[in-house]
Amino acid sequence: MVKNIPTPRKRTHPFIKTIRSYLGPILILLILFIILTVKSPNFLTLGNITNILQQVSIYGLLSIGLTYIILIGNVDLSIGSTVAFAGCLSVTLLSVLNLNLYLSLFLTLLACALIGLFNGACLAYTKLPPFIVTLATQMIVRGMAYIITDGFPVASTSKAFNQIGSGRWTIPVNDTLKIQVPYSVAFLFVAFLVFGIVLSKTKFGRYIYAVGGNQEAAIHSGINVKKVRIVVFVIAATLAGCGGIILAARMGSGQPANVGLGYEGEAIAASVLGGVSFGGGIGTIGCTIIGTLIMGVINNGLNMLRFEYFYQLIVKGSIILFSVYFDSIKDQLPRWRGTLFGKKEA
Amino acid sequence: MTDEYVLEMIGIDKSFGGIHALRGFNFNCKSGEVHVLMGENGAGKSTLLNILGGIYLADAGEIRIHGKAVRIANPIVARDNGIAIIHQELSVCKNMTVAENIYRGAFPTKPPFDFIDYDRMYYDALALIDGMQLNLDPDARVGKLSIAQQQMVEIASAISKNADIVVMDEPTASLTRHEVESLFQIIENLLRENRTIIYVSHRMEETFRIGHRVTVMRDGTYVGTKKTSETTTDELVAMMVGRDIKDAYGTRSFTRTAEKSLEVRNFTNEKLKNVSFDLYKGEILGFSGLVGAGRTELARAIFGLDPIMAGTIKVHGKEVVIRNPDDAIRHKIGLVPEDRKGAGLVLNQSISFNLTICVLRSFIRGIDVDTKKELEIVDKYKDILSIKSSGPDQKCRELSGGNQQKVVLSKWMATEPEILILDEPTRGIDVGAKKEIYDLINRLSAQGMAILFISSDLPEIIHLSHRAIVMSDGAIMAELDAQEEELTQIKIMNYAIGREEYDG
Repeated sequence: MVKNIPTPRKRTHPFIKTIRSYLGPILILLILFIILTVKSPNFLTLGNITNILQQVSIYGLLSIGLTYIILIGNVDLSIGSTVAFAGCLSVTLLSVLNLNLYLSLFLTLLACALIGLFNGACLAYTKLPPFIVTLATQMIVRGMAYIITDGFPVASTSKAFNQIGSGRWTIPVNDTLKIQVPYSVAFLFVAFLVFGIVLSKTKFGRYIYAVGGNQEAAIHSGINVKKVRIVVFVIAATLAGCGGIILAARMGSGQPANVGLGYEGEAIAASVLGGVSFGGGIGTIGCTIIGTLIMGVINNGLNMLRFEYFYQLIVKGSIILFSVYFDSIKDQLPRWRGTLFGKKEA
Repeated sequence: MTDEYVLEMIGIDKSFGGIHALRGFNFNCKSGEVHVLMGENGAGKSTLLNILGGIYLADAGEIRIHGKAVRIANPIVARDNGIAIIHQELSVCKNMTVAENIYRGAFPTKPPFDFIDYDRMYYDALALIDGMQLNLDPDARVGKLSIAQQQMVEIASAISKNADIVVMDEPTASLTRHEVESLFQIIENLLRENRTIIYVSHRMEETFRIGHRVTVMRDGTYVGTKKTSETTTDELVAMMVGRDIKDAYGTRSFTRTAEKSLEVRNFTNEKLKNVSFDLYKGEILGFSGLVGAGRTELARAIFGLDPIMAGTIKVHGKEVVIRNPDDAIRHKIGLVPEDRKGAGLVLNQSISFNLTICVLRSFIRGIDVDTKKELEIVDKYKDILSIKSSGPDQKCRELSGGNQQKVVLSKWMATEPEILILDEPTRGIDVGAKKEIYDLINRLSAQGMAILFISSDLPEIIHLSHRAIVMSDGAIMAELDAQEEELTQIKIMNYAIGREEYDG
């Protein structure tokens, strides 16, 4: 029998491979950068770049968690509410109950972790679909945020707390150039690093890919799928809690009503824009970083170009649709383009 | 002479990627008869049914219905020619009512807007059900009915579409004895209306009970057709299994030792009935039986995938509790699952990812990945089984079935198991890869591994096993020793079809 044996090919350099697998999203980011730089003189300034980074610092944290969740083939709609909940709880503990700063933060993150534990346990031990479970927790958690603050915003009385959101380090390069690094951006950077390494270098990271790629095979391989699922949801909720604390600190108050609305959508969009496959099992934190940046640049750029908010939404939606569609047809592209952008398994 | 046949299939050929599923197959039925189709697992029965049902198109050959040649290009043509197929896996819509299911695809409508005429549908269904003497409520949700009743709904649906030729694929597989009786009653009613039944079954008892003629197929070829009144169980079994013994199974050396690796006692759960056996170090213990006999379920229970209600297990003489696959792996048990793609591999990941997923402990500590060690493991097992690939980074999705199976085997060998369960390890892979897997099995047992080898391929069981256990309906029927020449196809087949005693 004549068999089609693939000829051994040279192993591509890992760096080239990395660049190639992100080329689609990077290209979109680049195009946006060029257009905005040309159209708006204020876009490519140090101040504005810092501004963009600060804006994405909260979405970025949520996107990391959602990337993990999407990688195991699930979705979490409750993290927006968790952001509001964490903000309200931390400010209330701190300014109403007058607890110590670190204790308040710890208790807040613990509460958020419990929300994640609940989500994860529901999905691990029942057959309920993740969409429904997290939709329900979205409402429940939002309700708890209202109850904590009695429906009104609570103002923070702690300067130290507010510093978490608005504080920054100034790094003088020379007399005229001073780089500002907001704490929140530094925190996001560390989070990207830590969770990127966890995903690519640890056993747990591989388990995530196995669970998302083929849950049955993961079970057969002795992986505790329930545990992986629960831990992933705890991580996502805790990261959302961090985001909520930073946001509340930046605003100087915990607000139950308008905070965090639709954040899960932005975070899902960022992950998917970066190339995380919604079917699970495919994607990296690199994808999330690029996706988050794209979302930040779109939001910021459309403001710069003085698009009205209503039009912004339409443009944003269209960009998401286009780039995800582009990602999905990679396989059908002509060969040279296919090679350039790297094929992707659905 | 030919005119009297309702259906004739002449010289049907069908191959999938170079493997012949059917070769020059001949088959015919008369009206008003039950024609039983028999054959081992993989003999090509499903392919034949799918050709008849318009799912596959035959590569060559002719199908004649009432003497007229037809080309069954799709399921609609099949239906228009009066062919209805009741698959083993029923295709009812569980959230719809009995009446809706019966008229699914051809709802009665009423003017002016062509809305569905629910009243007419109800009364038509009622008339049909009464005519067939079924005991069904047209308004009942199908999901709430028993499997037997759901099957009746499918039969009624077939009759509503005026099917002359009703094909039933192992219809009694999941029915109780009582339900089987009522199915036979329905079949008799259908015969009285001069319809033809093609009845696929493994069960001899049923064949002789309701069949008029029986056609036996083997390896996709036609073996023969007999009148049930003129044949015997023994003759049919011989027809089903009688094939050339090939020297394709490598050399068996009886390396079984007296040391017990695995002792299973009284394993009982929903699918298993009091299963007990011993597996010795260095032994290849074959598990034979028909599909659904409980072999896979036994493997799953041992490996901790399914819970057991009763029973104990000893590994190397020590009683252990295996609650999940992780426990099993810790006790040096490996399982190569039946469903390679569904349970064996993460297809969109690389060979090296899959090969090492069970042994990550040996080269990842915290965030310190010992890439060199990882590659060493991958290379070692890649070479033992000569996995043909473009490199360790190749995605498993892109490999051939045989190479995928080799990755799964390698994955388990990497865990260095002492007990290896192989569930249909050679299913659907080419001859060359099969031979390599046989050689590997022989070699592993010689090295002292205890191997539990599940296969539906009889020659495989006979030529590889040191001992073989035959299961039927969740219970062990017999234990046959190869060295004492007890291992014959006819013996296995007789136990597999549930005959208690056989002395031939």
